[in-house]
Amino acid sequence: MIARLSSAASLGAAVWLLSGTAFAQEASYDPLGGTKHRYKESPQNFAAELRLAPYLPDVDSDPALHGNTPYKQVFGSSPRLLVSGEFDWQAFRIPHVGTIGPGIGVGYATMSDPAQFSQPHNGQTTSGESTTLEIYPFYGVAVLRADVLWREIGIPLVPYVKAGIGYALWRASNTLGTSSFDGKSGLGHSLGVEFALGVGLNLNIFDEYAAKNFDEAMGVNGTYLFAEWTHADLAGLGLQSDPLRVGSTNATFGLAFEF
Amino acid sequence: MLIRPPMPRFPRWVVFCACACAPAIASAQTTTTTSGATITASGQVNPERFITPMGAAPGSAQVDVGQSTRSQNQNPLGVNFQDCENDMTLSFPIVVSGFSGQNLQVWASQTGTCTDAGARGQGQTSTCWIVYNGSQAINMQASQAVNIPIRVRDLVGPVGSVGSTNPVYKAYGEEACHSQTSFPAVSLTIYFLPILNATVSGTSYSYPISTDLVGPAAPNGVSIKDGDTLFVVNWTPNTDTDTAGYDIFIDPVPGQEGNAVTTRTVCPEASTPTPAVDASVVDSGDDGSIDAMTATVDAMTGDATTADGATADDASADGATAGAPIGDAACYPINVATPGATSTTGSGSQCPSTALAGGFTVDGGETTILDDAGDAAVVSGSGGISTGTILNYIYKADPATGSTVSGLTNQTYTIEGLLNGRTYTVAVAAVDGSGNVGPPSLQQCDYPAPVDDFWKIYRRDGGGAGGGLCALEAVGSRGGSTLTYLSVGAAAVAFGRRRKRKR
Repeated sequence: MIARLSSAASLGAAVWLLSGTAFAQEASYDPLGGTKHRYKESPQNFAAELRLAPYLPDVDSDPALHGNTPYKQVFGSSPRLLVSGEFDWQAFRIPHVGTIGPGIGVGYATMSDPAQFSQPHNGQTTSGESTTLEIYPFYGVAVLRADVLWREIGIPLVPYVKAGIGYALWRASNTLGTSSFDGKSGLGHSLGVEFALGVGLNLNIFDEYAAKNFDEAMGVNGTYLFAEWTHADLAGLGLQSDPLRVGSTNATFGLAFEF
Repeated sequence: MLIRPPMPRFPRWVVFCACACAPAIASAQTTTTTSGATITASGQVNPERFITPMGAAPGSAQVDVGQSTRSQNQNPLGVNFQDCENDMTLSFPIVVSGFSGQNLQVWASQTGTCTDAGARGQGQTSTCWIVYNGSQAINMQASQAVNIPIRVRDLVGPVGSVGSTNPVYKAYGEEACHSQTSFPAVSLTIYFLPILNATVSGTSYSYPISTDLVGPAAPNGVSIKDGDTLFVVNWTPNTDTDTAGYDIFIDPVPGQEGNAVTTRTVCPEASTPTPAVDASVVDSGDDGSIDAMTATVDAMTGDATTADGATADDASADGATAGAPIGDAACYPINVATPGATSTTGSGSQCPSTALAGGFTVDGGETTILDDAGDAAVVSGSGGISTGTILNYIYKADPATGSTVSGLTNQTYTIEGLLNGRTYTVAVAAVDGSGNVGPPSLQQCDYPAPVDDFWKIYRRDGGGAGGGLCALEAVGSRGGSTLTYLSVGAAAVAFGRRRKRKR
C-alpha cells in the first residue's frame, strides 16, 4: 500500500514538473472536439540543416598570385550556388541559454565555363573546351544555439554561433579530365577555419497544430528558416604552405530541423 | 531383305549430321497438316554463316564465320548490308522425317504466310518468294539433320518487288543488296515446307529473321569546336528511330599523323656552348597546318624554344620539341612539324578529305526515300558503306556497339589525342541497329589549339596548390601533412578525455 502511494506521489510530482515546463509540452487544443490528449514533446538531441548559399571562393586572395586574379579571369565574379547540409549533436543544454554541441557539414559547389584559347584561333577566343572547378567543403564546428528566447519568452528567434575547422577537397578539370600543368595535377585540399553567425525563425508559431503533429509523427521538435553569415578561411591554418583558397564569406539561407 | 531408301538430292556440300536435339527457339513455328512429313529445328537453331573470303577466286569454298559477325547490340542474328555484300550464305540446321516423296522447299515473305498456296502464287499473286529450290521427291522416314543453305541475296532480293504467279527460284546478284527502300529494318519469315503436288504436305517450320540493308540518313549540322589537342564534335541528332548510334570519322587518324612531325638531327659545333642551331620553319597560319617553325636549340641542354609566332605550347604539342640527350658527337634529334606535311593515313591536311569520301559507296541513286520523320528527302536505297576504306577512319569504335557513339539522341563527342596546329577532317555517319553505317555528313576541317584552362592560369600566375590529395605539405616540415596534424590532435583530445574519466 505504501509502495502504491509512493508511486502515485512520484507520478504526480513528475506530472507537475512536466506541466511547468515549456508550453509545447502540453496541448489542450483539440480541433476535432474529441477526447483531449496530452502532448508531450519528444526528446531533442540533434539538428539538421539544408543550406543554400551564393558562393564566390577566395582563390584570388592568395598572396602567391601577386595580385593576379585567375579565378575571376576564368569564372568571372558572379557567385555560384553552394549546396550543403549540416548535422549537429546538441550534446548539452545550458540552462536559460540554449544548446551546445558539435556539428559537421558537407557541401558541393561547381563552376564551369568555356576555356579561352591561348591565342586567338580562327578569329575566336573561346574554345570548345570547358574548364571546371569543383569544390567539396567540409567542416567540423561547435554550435551554440541560444533558444532561450523561444523557450522561455516565446519569441520565435534562435540566434546561434558556430566556430571550428573548415576543410575542402577540390578538383580543377577540363574536357579531358583533371587538369595538370607543370607536373602538378589540379587536385587537392585546403584547410582553414570556419565561423558563422546566424538566426533561425521558428516556424512552429505559424501552425502549432502541425508542429505538434510533426513532432508526434516524426520527432521533429522545431522547424526553422535561418539566415547566416558564414566565413570560411581556408588559407592553410599554418599547416599548408599554399593551398587553393576555396573558402568564402557569404550569406547562407536554409531550413533547419531540431529533433 | 533391307531396302535402303534413296538419299535426297541435296547439294554436295550440304552436311548431314546426327545432331543432339535441344529445344528450338521460341520464335520459330511449325505448321502441321495431315501428312507425316515433318520439318523441325533442333539443337543449333540459328544458322551458321558462310562467306567467300575477300579476293578469293570465284567458286572458292566459303568460310564459316560462325553464327554472327556482329555484337549483341547490332542485330547479330539478322542480316545487314555488309552480309549481303559479302554474299553470305545462311546454313540452317533442320531435322526432317517422314518424307515420302515430298519436295523440301524454302520460301520467304515479309507479309504473307507461305504455307498458304495462294501466298506462294498458286492462282494469285504471290507474297512469298523461293529462297531455296530444295530437293525433290525425298523419301526419308527416319529423322535426319540437314543443313539448308540460303543465300542472303536470295533472301532480300525480292523485298519490295515481290508479286508474281507461280514464282520460280532466282539467284540474285549484288543488286539485291540495294532492294530495300526504307530506313527501318524489314522483318521476314523463312518457311521450310514439305511440298507435294504444290501444296504443303506435312509439318513445316518457320524462322523469323530481321533484315536491314539501309543505313540511317547522314546527320546534319555537324560542327567542330576546338580545344587543346581535342575536338568537340557536335551534330543534330537524327529523328528517325532507325538510328542506333553514330560513327565519327577523322582523317588523319590520331596517332597516325605520319610525317606531320619529322625528326631532324641537329649537330651544333662541339666547342660552342651557346645556342647554336636554328631549325627554321614557316607557318602560313590560315590553313591550320604549321608549315614551318623555328626552334632555337641550346647545345648544352638540348632545350628548345620556339619563335615562329606560334606559342611554346603550340610547338610542343606539335611535337616540335627538343631536349634529346646530347652525346659526345653533340648531334641530337629534334622533332619539328614538316612543311606541307601529309599524314601516312588518308589525305592528311587536305580538306575535304578524299579518304573520308572515297571509301563510301552511295547507291546508284535509283531510289529517293524519306527518312522516318518524313522531313528529309534522301537519295539512297543503299546500305551505305560498302567498301572498307572509310571504316579505317572510325574514331574509337566501341567493341560492344560497333559505333563511336551509342544512342539516337547523342549529339556531341570529344575526339582526343590530336596534335595542336594539325588540320584534321571530321565527318559523322549514323549507324542503325543492324550495324549499317549510313552516308557520312558533310566534312568539317579544323585544327586544335592550346587553351588556357583555370588550372593552367592559376599555376602560371604563381599558385602553388595541387598535386593530388596525397601531396600534403606543411610549412617548414618535410613530409608533414595536414592529416597527420589532425590525427595527432584528435589522439591528444581522446587521451585527455580518457584521463579525465579515470579521475
